Amino acid sequence: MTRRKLIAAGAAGALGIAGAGLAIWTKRKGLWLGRLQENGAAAASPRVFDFRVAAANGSAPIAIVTGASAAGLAKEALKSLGGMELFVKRGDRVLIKPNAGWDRRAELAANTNPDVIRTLCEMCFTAGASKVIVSDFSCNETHRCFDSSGIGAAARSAGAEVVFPREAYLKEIDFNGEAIRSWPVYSHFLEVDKFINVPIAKQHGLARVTLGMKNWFGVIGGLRNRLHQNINTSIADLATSIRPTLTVIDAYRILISNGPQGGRLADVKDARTLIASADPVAADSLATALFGLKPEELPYLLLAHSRGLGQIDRSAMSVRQITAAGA
Amino acid sequence: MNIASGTRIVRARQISQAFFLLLFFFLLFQTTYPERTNEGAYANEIPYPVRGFLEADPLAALAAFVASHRVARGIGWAIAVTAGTVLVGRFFCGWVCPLGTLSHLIGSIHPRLKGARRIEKNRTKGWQKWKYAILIGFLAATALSVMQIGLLDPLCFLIRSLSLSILPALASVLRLLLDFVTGHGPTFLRGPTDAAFQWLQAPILGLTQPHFQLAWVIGLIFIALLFLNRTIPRFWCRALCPLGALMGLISKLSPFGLEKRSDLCDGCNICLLDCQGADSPQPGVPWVQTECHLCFNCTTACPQGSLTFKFFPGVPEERTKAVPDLGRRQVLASFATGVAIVPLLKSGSVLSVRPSPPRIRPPGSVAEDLFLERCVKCAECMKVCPTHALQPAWTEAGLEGLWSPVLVPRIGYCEFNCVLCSTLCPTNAIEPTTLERKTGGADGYPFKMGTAFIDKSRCLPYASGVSCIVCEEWCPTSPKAIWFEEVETVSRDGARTMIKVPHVDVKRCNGCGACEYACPVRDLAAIRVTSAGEERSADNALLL
Repeated sequence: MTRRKLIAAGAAGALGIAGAGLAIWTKRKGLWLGRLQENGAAAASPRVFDFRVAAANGSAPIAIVTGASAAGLAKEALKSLGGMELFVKRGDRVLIKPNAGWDRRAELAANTNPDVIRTLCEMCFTAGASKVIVSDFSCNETHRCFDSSGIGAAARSAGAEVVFPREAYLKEIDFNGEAIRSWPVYSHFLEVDKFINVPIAKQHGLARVTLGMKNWFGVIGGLRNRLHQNINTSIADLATSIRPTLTVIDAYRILISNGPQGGRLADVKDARTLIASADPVAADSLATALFGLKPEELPYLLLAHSRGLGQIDRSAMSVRQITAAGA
Repeated sequence: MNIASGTRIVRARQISQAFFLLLFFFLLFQTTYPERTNEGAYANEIPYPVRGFLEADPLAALAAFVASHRVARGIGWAIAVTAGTVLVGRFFCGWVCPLGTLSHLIGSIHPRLKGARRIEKNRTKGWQKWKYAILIGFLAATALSVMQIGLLDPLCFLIRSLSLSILPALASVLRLLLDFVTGHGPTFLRGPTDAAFQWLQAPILGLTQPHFQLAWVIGLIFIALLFLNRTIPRFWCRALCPLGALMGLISKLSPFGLEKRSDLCDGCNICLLDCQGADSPQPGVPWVQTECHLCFNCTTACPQGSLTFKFFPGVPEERTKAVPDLGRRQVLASFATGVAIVPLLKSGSVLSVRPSPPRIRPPGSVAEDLFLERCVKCAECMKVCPTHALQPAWTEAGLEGLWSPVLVPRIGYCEFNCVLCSTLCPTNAIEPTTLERKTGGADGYPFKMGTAFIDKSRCLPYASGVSCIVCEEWCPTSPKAIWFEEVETVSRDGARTMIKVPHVDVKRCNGCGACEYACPVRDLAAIRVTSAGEERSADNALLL
């Protein structure tokens, strides 16, 4: 061995040892994994990711706002619920989950209204959020969906970060649900402090309507098309495990036919409405009226109610019906 | 007039080669979904002239003209390149061609061949006439509507090999590395890794990891031919390249050439050491103009100053414009082979009798016989397809259609609001197609590529009474081509329940394959698309 080779080998060895040391140190410091731990001890009860600010079951108010501007609806709704400051604290990392499932323009009502997303992002920052992430695991190609719908541009213009789910984010989670036992989840959705679910109200062939609870399908990976085989229990299982800070249902435009993709303006109805609540079941229940349905007609809402996830009976809710200025 | 001596011209040539190679890769990387260019609307325009090199390819333009008697898109560039060749000779080969530059690089980095052996290899060889036979044969077949020039056209060959095999392989390695760091590395590396991933995603990684069927064959051919350049310098350019052959023939018109001064030459043969074209620069033998790449290595290397490039060079007895040994008989034989291939291919394929079920062509494609006349297999459409639905054909379109694009819904589906492939096709095998035309607009019917058929023996609701209709959810047309009916189903214990079963409206179905792609029966889908009913074909019509 020449001297040069010896020095090179020594340097490489030292680097290797230093690298290993750094790895062990960071792992001990808990920097090695994300906050979302994979499967914990096998439990019989469902795993719950709770982003609620207070136990709001059954008592959380629901705001139904109608008006001419999508941004105005979001502002009025949050004002009526007590302001975004009630939900988002200084320094919070907030995830805003639109329905950006399809490669469709905003006016076709297949994806959440970009103005609603922009306004919510801005309000989160105003409330002191340190970071706002907008993300969805789309059905069509994700980049196309975020570009065509305008959601990507809206989120970025408000200073939020748009995250396209990567396979590497997937973590296998024991939901211990009735239909969903163990399932891969895009972990970045759940490694936040606050979670705001912002679906759009749409007709859906199998589930009849897709609202807030169905929107959780965009958080998970794997062969999620199999969930259609037991769609109502699957929706209820996800709603059991993921408890959002806030549900904001965009019904500025709703899709009344050919859902969940639509494609023609004839499939769209201008409902000019937005429903917001900390109770995800109540929000979904009230939104069914937009489609001429009763909450009891949707098995997943009955399931969710029976599991104590929220209210479906309008008479038991505190509903704040508002008409936004300029409507 | 001595314009080409000294190292300065070699340096200029190297800069030109580097520039065009980088430009080529830049444009190749931009041949992808144009992210964030058109927010709030459908992004269907790439903001760079990504098929520029194909447009500047005189061979592709000539073949397109011979085959379908139409002028290729962007013909101006091809004319400019041709004019330049008439003026000075094969400058394209030595100064521009990215495959030429790659061949040059592979042969000169730590060269395997040195000294006398290298000089020997760079002497003009008889087999350099192969490329003329290839050119003549392929053009003859092209004239009779069998367009195979794309197999060996250097730009088609390079774009296809890189897009379908080399870049996807690179992407899979990079993804592996980045995913490992994200999944198993410390969290503080997540930000930089995400940024790197996003930056690399559209140009290299692919929106999803690209998989092209049997592309490793395409990749191996490419690697083998590239590395042959180490054994025989510029083997590709000297022996195979039909574009080089075409330019060689054109260069016979050029007044620019090599002047040799035998009186100054001491016979050292150093001029042969780095000769790229093997065109006999050494004094004492005729210079073979058709083979010269204008690399200027010979004039720069000559210690005696006996070699000079100039317009209207003197010493006519040492200058020949002859194609090396390509006699009349060989020209005729190449031509006859090209002609004979046509009936052989056409009669030896059942696809001449019945349409091929998996031969689903991209939206906007012209009728199949025209398609085969136009497609140069450059793979631009496959490179740009955001879902990697477009795949190189192997048997789907017959031997003639080898490596032409077909839609394979199990790998990807045709994104409803995307027409990127049709904007890139250099020869209009896929006609430029507006979104209105493809989707049918508000009330029309979409462009029909094929039809979906339900396999009731595999479909969960039909065969097993299991709820599903994912196909209906994914069907992109409005009204949906896939609709459902609620029927009563009975379980083995006799319980009767209602279940939704799918149906296909054949007239509405555009054959995009979204249903087949999304079908939860993973291996052989319960709903499958074939080319039946494709609107470009009268022969494959389905409905009355």
